[in-house]
Amino acid sequence: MTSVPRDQVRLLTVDSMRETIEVGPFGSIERFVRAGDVVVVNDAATIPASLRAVTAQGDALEVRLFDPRADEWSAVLLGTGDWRTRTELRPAPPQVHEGQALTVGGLSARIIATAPQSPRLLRLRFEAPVDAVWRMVYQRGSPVQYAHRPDPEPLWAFQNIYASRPWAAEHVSAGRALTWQLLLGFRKAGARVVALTEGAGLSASGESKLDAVMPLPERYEIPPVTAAAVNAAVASNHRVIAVGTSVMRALESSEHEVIAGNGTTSLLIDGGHRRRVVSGLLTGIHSPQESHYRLLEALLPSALLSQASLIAREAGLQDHEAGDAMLVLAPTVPVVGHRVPAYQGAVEAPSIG
Amino acid sequence: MKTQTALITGASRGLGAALARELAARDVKLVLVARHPEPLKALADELGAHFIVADIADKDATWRIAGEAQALVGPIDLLVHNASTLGPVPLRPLLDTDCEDLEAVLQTNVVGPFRLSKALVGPMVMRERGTVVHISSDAAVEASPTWGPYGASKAAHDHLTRVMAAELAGTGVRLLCIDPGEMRTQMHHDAMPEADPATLTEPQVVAKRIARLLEDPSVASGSRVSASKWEPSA
Repeated sequence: MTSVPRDQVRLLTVDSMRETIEVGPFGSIERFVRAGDVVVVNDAATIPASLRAVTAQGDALEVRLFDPRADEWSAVLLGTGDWRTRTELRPAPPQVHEGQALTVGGLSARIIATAPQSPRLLRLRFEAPVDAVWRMVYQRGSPVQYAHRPDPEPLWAFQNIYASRPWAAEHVSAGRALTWQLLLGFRKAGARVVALTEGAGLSASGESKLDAVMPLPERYEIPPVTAAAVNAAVASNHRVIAVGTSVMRALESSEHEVIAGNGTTSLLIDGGHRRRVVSGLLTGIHSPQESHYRLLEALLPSALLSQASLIAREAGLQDHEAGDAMLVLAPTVPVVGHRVPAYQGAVEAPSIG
Repeated sequence: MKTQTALITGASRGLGAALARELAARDVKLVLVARHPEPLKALADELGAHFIVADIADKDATWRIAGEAQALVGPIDLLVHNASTLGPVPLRPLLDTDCEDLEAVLQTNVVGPFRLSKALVGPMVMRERGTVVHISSDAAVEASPTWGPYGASKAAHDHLTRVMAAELAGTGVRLLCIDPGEMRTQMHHDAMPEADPATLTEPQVVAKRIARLLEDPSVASGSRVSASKWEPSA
């Protein structure tokens, strides 16, 4: 049970045009979504991605699965223990190598590739039909949790109300506080509410070499109805509000206008990024040490962002994934004939086959 | 827009299995859900469908059903709430009905399907398309002696469907209650073993009418339709 209703959190709204910062109840978001705006959510459901595994030698470990493609998955390995121990303090998993067998949740799998940075990041192929693998994941897996919430929580506690395909390795928590009361209210006010699916990966691996290259490339799919709504909003100078950084990554990965279909994004957004689509972002409270904070610099002038952080701290806003929320309102993207190519992050993403 | 994916509960026999055949013939990607693995797997293999063994009354099964189904076929365009239980048979008067039996009927016929709708209708709203069907019964409308728990559950599910249709008006999601009429099924036999099978309609005949009815855009969201009385619009 979640003790507090999901929308009973606070909302920090930073409006860069009016240069205002205010703290209110989450429901105050209604005042900032106007006719013609498009709100885009990531409808990826959370995979019960944490599974017990064992090597052929009988060594136990934890496997965190992500990026499913038919019978192949990516995985990060952790040693014994569970989420109650902070990821970086967990014992290292047994050494594994390409070609080695692993039993995951009772099913046989083979390691088909390991990342150059660390063999703890790898690609697995299950020796079972796709249906059987998903059945195992839902019967044996549990959602990835972190140490600040010591009690095991049910899968539904990590799902957004509009969650669809299980593509996310962890809860895409930016949409956590949204209710149908609010979403249907946005529609009644003349805004559109649409989805894309972005396969958000793990936020931490327990190994600094791997954490340094996160987020890894992530796949996404934009439905035609979403692409059309977003492009129409941009063309008519209306706001496109991304719910979560995963949505912003997917939308900002387009070359010109947003194209319906599948893609993979390695885009890292920071202050050097020239926005093409997104002019609003609903996200959590981020501290200046986080990569998400650098992403906010693509939307807000640094001074206003620092001021917002200060006000968040003074107001005691909670920065964990079940915590308070932040709505950033930036100027809409100018409609011009040609746009400047986006800045691609300099960090090489690891190739894992 | 054409239905590409469908999830049917209670799909291992009777009307559920007949609807599965009808939709498979229309190249719909199917996920079939039922409690008993053997007949379910046999039908799924025959139709090239996916199957999930689950009890719709089991709260913990909700995300497993929704997650496995959408992982395998993508977002669901058509959700058919077909699974339901009569409660203990032979049917008996309400004053002879154990409260626990009423609760169990409501779990399977109302609360379970409601949970599944909560998981699967949201993505439909986001995609501005989708259909949810409650396979209802005349017992939801008629006050027939001994049909209390089943009839009350069907009336409750009908009403939830109508309220949700009102709440989602204009979103592109359609919610319907369909009364299939009396069919030659195991459930009918359990409820009325004395009925003459010759007077009952084959589920396959009803399933064909329902499949055609679902293709008729003039059937408005929130409406309650009798499969036997429905006439295709010109």
